Amino acid sequence: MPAIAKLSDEDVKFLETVFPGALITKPEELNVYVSDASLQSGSPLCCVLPERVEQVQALFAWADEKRIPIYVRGRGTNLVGDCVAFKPGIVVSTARMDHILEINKGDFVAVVEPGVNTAQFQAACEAQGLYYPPDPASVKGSSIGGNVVTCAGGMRAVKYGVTRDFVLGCEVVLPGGDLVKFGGRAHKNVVGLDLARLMVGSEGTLGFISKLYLKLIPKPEASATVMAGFGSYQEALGAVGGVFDKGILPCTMEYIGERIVKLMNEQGNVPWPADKVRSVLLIQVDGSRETLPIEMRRLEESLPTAVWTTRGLGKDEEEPLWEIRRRINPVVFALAPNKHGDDAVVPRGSLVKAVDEFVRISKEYNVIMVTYGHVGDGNIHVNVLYNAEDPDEKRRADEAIHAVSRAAVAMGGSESGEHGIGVVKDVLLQISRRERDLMRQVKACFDPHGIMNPGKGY
Amino acid sequence: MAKRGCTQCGNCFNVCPVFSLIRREEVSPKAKHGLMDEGWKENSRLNWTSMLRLANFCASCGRCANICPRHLSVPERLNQTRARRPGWQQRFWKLWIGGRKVFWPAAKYAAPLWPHSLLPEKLGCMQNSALAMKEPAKTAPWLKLADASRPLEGLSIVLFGGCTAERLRPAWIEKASALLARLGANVLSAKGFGCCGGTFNHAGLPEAASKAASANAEVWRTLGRPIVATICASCLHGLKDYPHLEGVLSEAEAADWTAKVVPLSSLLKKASFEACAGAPATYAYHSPCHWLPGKDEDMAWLKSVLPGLRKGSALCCGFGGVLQIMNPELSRDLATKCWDGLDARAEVLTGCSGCTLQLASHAPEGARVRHWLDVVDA
Repeated sequence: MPAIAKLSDEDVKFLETVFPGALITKPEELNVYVSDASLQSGSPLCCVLPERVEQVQALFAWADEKRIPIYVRGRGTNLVGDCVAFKPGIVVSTARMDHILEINKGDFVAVVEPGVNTAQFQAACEAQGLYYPPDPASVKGSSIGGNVVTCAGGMRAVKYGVTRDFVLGCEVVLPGGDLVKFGGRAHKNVVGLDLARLMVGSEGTLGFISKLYLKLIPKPEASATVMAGFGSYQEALGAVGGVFDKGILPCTMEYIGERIVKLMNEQGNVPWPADKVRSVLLIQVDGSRETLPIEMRRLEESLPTAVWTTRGLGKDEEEPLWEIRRRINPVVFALAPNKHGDDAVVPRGSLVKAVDEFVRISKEYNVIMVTYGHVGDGNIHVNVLYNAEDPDEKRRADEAIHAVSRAAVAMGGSESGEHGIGVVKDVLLQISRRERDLMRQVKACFDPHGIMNPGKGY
Repeated sequence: MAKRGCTQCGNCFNVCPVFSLIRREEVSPKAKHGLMDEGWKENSRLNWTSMLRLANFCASCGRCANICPRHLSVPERLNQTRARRPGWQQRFWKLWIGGRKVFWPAAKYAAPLWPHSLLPEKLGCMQNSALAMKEPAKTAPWLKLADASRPLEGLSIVLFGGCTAERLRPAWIEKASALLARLGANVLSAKGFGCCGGTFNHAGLPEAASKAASANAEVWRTLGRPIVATICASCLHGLKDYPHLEGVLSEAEAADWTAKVVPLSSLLKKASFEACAGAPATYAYHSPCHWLPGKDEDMAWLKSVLPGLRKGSALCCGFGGVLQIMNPELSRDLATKCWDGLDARAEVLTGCSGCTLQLASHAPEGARVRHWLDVVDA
């Protein structure tokens, strides 16, 4: 597809007609749309802010005809460059398509526009006693549409699943301008191929999701948390299986690795005995008020190797424990100014083996590495901390993070559990050329001229 | 380690009153960090005037810094940016605040006489503020002291009234002083206190801010470093910032200052109050931005002594000091949204001089807003 360097007067006139007052072309206003949380930069020609699906249809008919790339953007929190216009094109912001159209208590279904913020949506559901569990770390900042196209995960995935498990249907504008509907509000639906879920995790490469039908469940009555300290990461990760063996399915199960615990110990104000605890598990269960104390007791019994435990029953008691988990991000920057964040997944039975291997990699490349994350589903966040101003250190950090991806795949895991591929990772590390070609052929059915987020994902 | 830049996590979107109003990413705090990063570069491709115009879409509420994992503050950054190239707005603001003894009472009486249509657009908003300077009709007290105990006995306290109270609402100062005295405090003379300086800083006038802060710090020093009670959330915010201003307080003084600058409500809660017969069953409350979410001590105290408080749903009233001349339309729209989120049928209380005037200047027909001191019987 030939790239266009700038919009013609005629193009601008067209866009102004379709998006009156919502076309951004000034460099100062466009500046924020140049990058996303990957901190990579592109060169958008302009940004448009539709409020109605008809505007998107008109744009997509025109852009497809003109072969102009389209980059759909929620709130720009993507970590792998999915919102970045590496080829000059049009950024379509969903910021003004941000309405919760319906929260239906009878159907346990919500209908929303893509720009709705996930945390605000969750709060609106919970106000009605309903629950939308997917809780990516970006929940306060990201949009539902962005969560869907990246199949965002989060801490509760171990029990409830990821965003994919809550998408019943969607309406999509295709390149060319057609509006199609995949799935709908029915909780069961086997008619034809499941194209609604194909849209989930598609990284903006297939079409513009203009409306979402999301599954809701009853809000759990209460929750409780156990925090357990261990003498080593091997003991902490080794204890994970024991919890499941007891027949407990926690709603979250987080791990804090040795390097981070050491940093927290040094900074003080930790609830555990700093001389004994080198690694931590944070486990939350939810359910009814009557059964939770029993579940808690079983949970504590399932952690015989813990050198220390504490518990919190109910939100107020749990909050200080989860505050420790939220400290990880700021804490790790005490190690170095820059960070590569990886979201590799390994089969749950390989957790100890995986972190052993990551430790080996950190030594081989001589980099600072920390591990933490959602070990309940095998999703370990590996951060490599480095100083970007030192080219050698940066090179070693780049190589180390790729080695982590390779190691996870070699163990039967995935190089990305949550963030996606974007332009940061190599899909061929995990899938064959034949498999990638099939994906590209599927894309061509939706987007024959390749205008949707070109060069991303697969 | 040096303060690192914005990670574009987007946490600031939901707490930003301007993004919530306009719903465009370019006005978000995240966008402003990127804009100022780029605009401050030596050979920036961005136009400084356009950049500043966009950066002025900020109510300076500070909520973004509070939620940012790196505590990056757009208002702070914006103050520095404004200071780099001051314009007529800064000069006007310096004159307006510096000359408040003369200008404010004059504006209060002249504003109703001047035809709104003859004013330049930028000053129209100021006229509304001037109109709001007139005191609302007095109300029977809602709240009174319920015991004769003197919990503040032996404490030396000086009241920091702030510019608005000093020039336009002296009754607030009289009432606050009387309450402190009834609770047993040794109320010292506040003579010499001036503007807290916060508004100068915000306008990009750091020298004027430091000068104001130093003068106030000197009064406090001379008085023997007493407790400083404030009646305005914005003044409290401005005063609490002194330890970060260069050359205002010594290191030892800074710790003392931080401990001793307190809101009046934190002292009043040591005594028992009770609702009067004339108190309404419900009343609306606007929580000032300078009380960060969950930290509003005035609201916590009011809730404990006067049932029926209904908090407004908007994030900001849009006062924002110099915002009124930098971006009057935004100031107005934020105020309108703020009123939409308040139960305007009820009387509205707040605890910030700026919020009181701003809400009053954009109040719907028949709605009334007061500082909570207006309903307390001294």
